[in-house]
Amino acid sequence: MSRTLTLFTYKLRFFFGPALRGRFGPLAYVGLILIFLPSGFAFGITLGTTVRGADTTTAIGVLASPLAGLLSFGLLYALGAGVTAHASEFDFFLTADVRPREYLAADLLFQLVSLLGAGGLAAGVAALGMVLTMGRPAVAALPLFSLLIVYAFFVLMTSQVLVILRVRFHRIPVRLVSAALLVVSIFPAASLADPAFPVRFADLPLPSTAFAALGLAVLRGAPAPIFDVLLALVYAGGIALGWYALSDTYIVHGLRPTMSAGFGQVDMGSRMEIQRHITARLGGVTTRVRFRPDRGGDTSLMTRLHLVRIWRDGSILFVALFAIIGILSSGAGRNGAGLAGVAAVTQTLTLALGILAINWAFYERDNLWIVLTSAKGPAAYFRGLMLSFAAIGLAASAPFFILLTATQSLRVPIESLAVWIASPIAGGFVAAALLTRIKLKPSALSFAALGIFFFVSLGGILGGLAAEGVLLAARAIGVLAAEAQATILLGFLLAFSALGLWTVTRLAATFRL
Amino acid sequence: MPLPAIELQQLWKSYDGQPALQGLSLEAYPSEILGLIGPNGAGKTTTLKILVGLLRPDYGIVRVQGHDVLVDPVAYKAELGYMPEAPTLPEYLTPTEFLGYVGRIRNLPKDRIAARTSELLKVLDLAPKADETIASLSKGMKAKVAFAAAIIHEPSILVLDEPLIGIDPAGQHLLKERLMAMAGAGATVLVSTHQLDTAERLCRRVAIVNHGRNIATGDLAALRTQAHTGEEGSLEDVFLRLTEEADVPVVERPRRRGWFRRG
Repeated sequence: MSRTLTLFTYKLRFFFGPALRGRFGPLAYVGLILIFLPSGFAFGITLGTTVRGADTTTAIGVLASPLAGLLSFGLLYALGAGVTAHASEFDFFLTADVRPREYLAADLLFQLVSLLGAGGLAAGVAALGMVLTMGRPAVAALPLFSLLIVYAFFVLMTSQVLVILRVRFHRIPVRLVSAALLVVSIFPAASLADPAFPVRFADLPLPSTAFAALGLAVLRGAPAPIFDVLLALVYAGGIALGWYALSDTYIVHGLRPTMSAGFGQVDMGSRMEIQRHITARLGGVTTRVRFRPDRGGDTSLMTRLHLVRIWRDGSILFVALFAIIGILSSGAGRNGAGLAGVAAVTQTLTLALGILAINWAFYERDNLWIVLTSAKGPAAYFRGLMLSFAAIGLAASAPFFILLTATQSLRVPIESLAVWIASPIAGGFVAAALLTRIKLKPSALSFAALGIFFFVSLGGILGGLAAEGVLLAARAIGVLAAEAQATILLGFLLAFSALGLWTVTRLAATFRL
Repeated sequence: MPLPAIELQQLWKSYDGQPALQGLSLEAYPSEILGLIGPNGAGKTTTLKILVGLLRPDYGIVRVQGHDVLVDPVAYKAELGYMPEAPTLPEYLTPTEFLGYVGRIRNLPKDRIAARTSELLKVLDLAPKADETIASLSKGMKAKVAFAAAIIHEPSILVLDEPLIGIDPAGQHLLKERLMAMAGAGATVLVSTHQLDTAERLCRRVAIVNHGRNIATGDLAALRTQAHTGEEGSLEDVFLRLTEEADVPVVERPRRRGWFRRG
């Protein structure tokens, strides 16, 4: 037991120590937690409002969905690592006579504490929001929160048990079983989107259903259904017994160091290794798109270089994900909601450009020695960076407009076109300009990293609004013909791009590695 | 005696108040391979980075082929090839693409890029991996790619920081042959290394750097004389003797004038 506590405190110190000892002490960490409190409370109120007016079956479905989501994360985690081990633990602890159960128990405690440390407060205020919305006393949030903690413990234990099974019984397709469980656990969520969907949470004896039913009883102030109490006990007790029986199995040889850095830090070595792995794995497919250095001018060369980089290092998948999120969140496909979605899509993609900019600062900046030791200088490199970001922003949002015109037979208004085209140009411009000046330390919580993310996104949005403003101003002074407005927009975009390229060229002239 | 291709005079550089270079001076001539050796933290990499324009000295003069590189920090790089210690490479490109890209940056005519790239890949035994991403190459192969990038434009001045690390013996032999051929054709090669036996065989002259100063420069015979190691003394004996004898210098740092001061 004492060694379990020692291992647990080591993990805690390793993970949270750097953030707490940082330049601003625990303030950055506290700030990050506080950011999620309003959204946690709003989430609780939304859930409470939905549950209040719903029948029991629907209410269980609404409450079970986020729980099923949590279980899905646990199962996904089990498919990958499942245990948070740091390389130093392999070198110094797992080579000692530490029993597997001692280590796994420490890891379980650490995961639970980290989870509660990161999201516990937000979950607590969400529970408070739910009980208040349901007209229950605030103290009713306590049993609700306790249920959530038990459920979280169940999820983490499930994840560890699957890892033990995977390592110990490597002939059994545990990963396949985990994936199947994942699908089963999340599958009934489709009934929330489409009430006609035949499978609902309330119909299946899933762990999320049992805990949701208990939570609903707390919210309604009703006695807990015996069947769901028993079901929850079977799940939680069963996995606890299974964990105890299996946790002394030797699995060290099957673990991999997955915890590479402390909270808020970025371990560049490990990240580079992961990046290298992704690039090498994708190489067979991605090198089919060739980079031809013997063609085009310098700016064209550099633009294509950045596009190839983003294509081959896997960032393109991330951009595609953002594009899908943007399109889905915009409500495209629903009658009448499409045009309003332009802002949602644009905003989501400027966020993606902000993250691409941070990605460049972390992983690509060091490659600039190649350019800086030549007689050419880095101007074309940064112009290419700006244009590649603009091209990616445009290309990623293009499907939205295609979808909009195809599904709704709508003629896209010129203001929407203005926002669509100007935002990525402005985002690319701000990103390239900032990156000539800002050098990031390997810390995800650094103000420089957050600044890049914020200003690239803001720049993109403001650029889009500026283009829209130019059109509105043109209309105000009597330019009403569509052709004339298109000409004005084209002129603005060309002038804005030229200004961006000129500014980036000037800034790049004094770039220092 | 020809004019030096590389001339460093009284270089001073410190990082956050910690001195890295304390008045280092050095000259390298055309057609020679000059080895730069010294203990860890002696200032070798700082010297090379100043020479290739990645760092600015706090004080001192840097001349390459007679041009003050602090006055015109760009034009001289056309004649320069550089291979850093542990080079970071764009892992997402293939060796062919990367060398073509460097060729463009180094102003190689477009119609020569393909032939030159192909030639280097063949010479350095990289042809079988020419179309795989650099991410999938071994450490030694990556070092060879970085070396190829340093010489793709046939520079007259080549600056190499620990170029042989991670390369197999056959590859090392290949690189050394190439360096000697380049020096034979008139190039100046400045190479920093910890491999003293390599330095002894490869370099015509060697500069020993310690505590940010050049404590001895010359061929092996001259260094033996300076170190009093006798005719049988190896470069290792010379190195150990001279670096042991050299105390931490008690020197007064020149005062800054403006951003940095020149002699």
